[in-house]
Amino acid sequence: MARILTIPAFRVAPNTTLLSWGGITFLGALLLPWTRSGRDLFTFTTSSTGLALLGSSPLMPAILATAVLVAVAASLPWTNAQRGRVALGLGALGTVLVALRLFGAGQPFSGAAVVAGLGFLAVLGTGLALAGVLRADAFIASSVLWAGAFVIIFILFPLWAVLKASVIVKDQFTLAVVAETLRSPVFFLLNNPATTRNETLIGVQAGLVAAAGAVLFLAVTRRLRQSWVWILYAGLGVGVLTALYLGFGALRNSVLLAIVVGVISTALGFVFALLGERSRLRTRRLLGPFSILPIITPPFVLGLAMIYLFGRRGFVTYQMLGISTNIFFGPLGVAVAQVLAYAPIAYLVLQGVVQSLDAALEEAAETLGASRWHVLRTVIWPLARPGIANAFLLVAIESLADFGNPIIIGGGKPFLATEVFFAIIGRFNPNEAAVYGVVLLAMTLSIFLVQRYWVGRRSYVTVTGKPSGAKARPLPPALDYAASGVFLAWMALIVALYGSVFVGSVTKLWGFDYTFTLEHLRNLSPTGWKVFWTSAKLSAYAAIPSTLLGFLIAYLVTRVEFPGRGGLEFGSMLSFAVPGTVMGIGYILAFNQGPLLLTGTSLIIILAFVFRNMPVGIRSGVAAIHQIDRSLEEASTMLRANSAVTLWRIVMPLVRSALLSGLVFAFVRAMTAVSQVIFLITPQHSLATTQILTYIEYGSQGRGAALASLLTVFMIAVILALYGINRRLGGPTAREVTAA
Amino acid sequence: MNRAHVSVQGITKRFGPTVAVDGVSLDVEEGSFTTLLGPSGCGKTTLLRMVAGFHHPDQGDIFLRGIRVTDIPAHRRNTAMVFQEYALFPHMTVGENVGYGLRLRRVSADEATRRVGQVMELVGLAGQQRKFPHHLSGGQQQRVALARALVVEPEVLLLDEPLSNLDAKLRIRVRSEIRQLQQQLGKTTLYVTHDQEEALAISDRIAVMNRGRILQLGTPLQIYHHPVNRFVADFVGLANFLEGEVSAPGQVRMEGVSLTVPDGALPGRRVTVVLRPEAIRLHARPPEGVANVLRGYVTAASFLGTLARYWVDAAGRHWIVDVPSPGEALMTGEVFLEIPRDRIHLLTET
Ligand SMILES: Nc1ncnc2c1ncn2[C@@H]1O[C@H](COP(=O)(O)OP(=O)(O)O)[C@@H](O)[C@H]1O
Ligand SMILES: [Mg+2]
Repeated sequence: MARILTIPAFRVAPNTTLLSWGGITFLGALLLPWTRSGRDLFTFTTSSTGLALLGSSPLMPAILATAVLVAVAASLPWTNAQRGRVALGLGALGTVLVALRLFGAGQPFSGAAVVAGLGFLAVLGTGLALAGVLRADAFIASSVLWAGAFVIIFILFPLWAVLKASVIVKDQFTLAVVAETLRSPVFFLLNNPATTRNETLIGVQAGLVAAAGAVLFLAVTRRLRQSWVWILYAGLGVGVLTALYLGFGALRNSVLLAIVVGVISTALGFVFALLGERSRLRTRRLLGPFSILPIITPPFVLGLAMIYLFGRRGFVTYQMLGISTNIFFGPLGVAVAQVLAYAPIAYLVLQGVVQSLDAALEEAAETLGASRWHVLRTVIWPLARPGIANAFLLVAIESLADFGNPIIIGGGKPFLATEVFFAIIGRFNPNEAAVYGVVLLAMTLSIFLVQRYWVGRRSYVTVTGKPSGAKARPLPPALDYAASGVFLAWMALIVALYGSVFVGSVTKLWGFDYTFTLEHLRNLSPTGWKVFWTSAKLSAYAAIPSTLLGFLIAYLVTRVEFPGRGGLEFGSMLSFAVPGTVMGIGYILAFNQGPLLLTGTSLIIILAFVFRNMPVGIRSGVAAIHQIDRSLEEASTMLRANSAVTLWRIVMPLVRSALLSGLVFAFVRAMTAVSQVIFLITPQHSLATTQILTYIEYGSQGRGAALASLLTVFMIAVILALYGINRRLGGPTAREVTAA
Repeated sequence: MNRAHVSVQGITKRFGPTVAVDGVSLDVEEGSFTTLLGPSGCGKTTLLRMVAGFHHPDQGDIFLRGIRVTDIPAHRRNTAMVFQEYALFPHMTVGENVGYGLRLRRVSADEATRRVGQVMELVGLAGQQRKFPHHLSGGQQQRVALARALVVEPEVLLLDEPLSNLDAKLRIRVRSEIRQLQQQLGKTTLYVTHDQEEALAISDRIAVMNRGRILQLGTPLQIYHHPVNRFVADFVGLANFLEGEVSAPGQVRMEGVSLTVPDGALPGRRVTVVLRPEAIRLHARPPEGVANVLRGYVTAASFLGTLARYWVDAAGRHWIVDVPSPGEALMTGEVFLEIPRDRIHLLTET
């Protein structure tokens, strides 16, 4: 057997991956500056390069020597396992040294720290792969480490900073701020001293009455024995809600708002989903564009439109009905605006639920002699319940986290998300802001966990049920017409609202002088245009890494097994549950000083966008990758492709349309983002959305309307372009993948 | 040192609580066609994928030409696999699919084109390189998958139920083509199937698996005629089973009947007699001068073209008997079963 074998375990050739990383790390650490003096990221301080620090900092020779050793280890004729173990040690050592150097110096980081940090992590990853600790190749192992590092630094660390700021003031642990904030009437006031009644007592009484009612009801329906917990639920629920309703403050407003908006949006979403799946009328075609609207609508647009139509000098209220009212400034107006914005979200969630309501199930139930009402109660409702809960919880999170509507039409009433903002911007108290942030976060996070691990899991069971061939039966005509009527009224309202903003941008002074003018559009120059392009530019920069990183993480969590996979997935999906304002203060608290100083740069805005929108990329990535038969990747692997090549040549081409959509949606979401960046902007890096707010609050509503219109039109154009491209390129790929 | 081309030693693989492969050892000789045969879920795919490097065994080792490859990732083992669903890249042409592995090996474009052309000819698809996989029929896609695996000249060819997506006729044709190709190239091949007929037809050696273990390794003839236990006998082909006790050397007694059998088992042992349906002869009249004749009645008969299958009641049991090249009429009523001594296979119960 004279064949020459190339079995890598015995290969003595140098490992090029390791060699490259050693070299890159060495050069970066030697030639780039480790720290910078100001905020500006691209200053080149010659005095802080590794070369200059070699004599003064004892860590520097160690770091450089470690990098050199990596290169040596890569070149020595060792087996992979030996090389891997050495690389593993050197990578870990190097990472620690870089961290020591960074935090020891305490000065803002610069290029060398980034290159050396990522370089040593890659060495560590390569080592893990070579040594066989991770059953993956160097690319995958390094990706896992990098993704983990990013998630820790840019998601977990800011949240940690918020937690810390809520109990640590001036380096002292104290619960004073927590106590002060929670006791403040702005947060929550139950027993209002200005009223004679005792609200607590009323709450308790209401709870007892509800519990008694529940006992009575269950006794009558003979279910007292199995369903006794409902007595508890009813009593507690009604009691708490009554107390909330009678009370005051941000907690009360936010919670009640979330419940009301959640219920109404979910109900509307369900009606629209029924309409979409089972209507015989043409109106259902409008549901597509309708479901896209909330994504492409810049914040404040609905709020501004509400002012235009229903405000004190509103077109409907004042011009048409002749009343001057403030009723829509406050929770009511916010609720209307939020329902308008979030019902489409509920619709999208419930669409899948209604689709999964298999007509065959209903038919089966009916052939067994069940009445329609009975079918609804015993078949449809139990199947739809998890989905409905899902929609409700998702809308509740959105409502709690919403910043744009409360600030513009909240009428000065406190809400949790806006109090975070006012605590910082108005009262200059980051610790108080942090407490509000923690409360808000605790609420959204618990809802998120309930949704994900309890409801989410249940709904999976029903949604994955294979649909039979039975055709969905159409709605009864009466219901069809009624629901379509509701939907048409809805669309009319939407058109009127958006229309008012468009008209408002060419109207002299809304409410007083309706003459046509181009003045507002002209006045967008120079500031309006400038912020518009800044927004577009930063969003575009952010869209690419957020999509790529999202897809990479999606690939890692769906296709690779590694310790900590669940953690990576959870950490990266976390920002779905974190309200933008909380992430926003997290970023300023975490990155405002010390070695990780980033505030004041455009990079921090980009980073905020990236890690905010990454979960969207992960979701669409996971969905797209699930469409690809795993054996395609294995076939590629077996033909000698490593994971990077497989990802690039096989996976990426097959998910390209999902990738493009992910890219566009990441861009659009960044363009319309406000709460997470409102603390991060500086005069140089002002964004379109925050500028709209400034215009509306302090300048002219007309100019705000003009900028908002511009943004809306741009978003619509971007989305239409995406559909155009995807139709041309997405079709065959999607078909082939499922056919293969 | 082990001379086998592929050697699997004491391999175990668990998925949570399921033990998919349970302490399996197997040697595959250079140039041989070895088949893993077993019911679905018995661990065939898992074993094959461990050889390919897609799974890492929990215990045990894998050797290629005596070199331990257990820790070498799939993309650096010199094995190539043909997947059940073919796994052709839908966004590449047939030519690009087949040339993919060459490109990764940095073979020059001209050389790659030449080799792709050659291998396409070999699998009977000359000149189809420009088409996309979805333009081809199932059988053609299957051959493209084979071409893609062969073109990189792997040391070992692995096939996981490659024929299961083809219809019955095509399956038989493609399987003989695969066998011919394998012999022509002398390629060491490990093949997975749950179809016993396919395994018998195509293999040099068969490893019959059940519940993560290899029960028997042998040539198709050995497996068929000398199964080591009841499972193998039952899984490969049809068989009549009779349980009894060795009463004297060469004699097995069971309820209602006593048979003369090949020597071997010690008197007093409980044994199972395995009788293939075609081993039994059927007579309309009692045959003269032979041992092991039973009188019975035909309860059902079915004409299968090249043979007739009878269900016969005799000695208080049901028998299945195959009679080759049946004439114009099938037998009915009273018949006589003749059981040739040398066609009897004995399983000693353990
Ligand atoms: N990736 C996996 N994860 C969990 N269980 C698996 C996995 N692959 C196979 N199994 C289980 O291992 C057993 C053997 O599977 P497999 O090797 O695919 O059987 P075969 O190919 O013989 O049908 C089965 O019980 C199967 O459910
Ligand atoms: Mg299988």
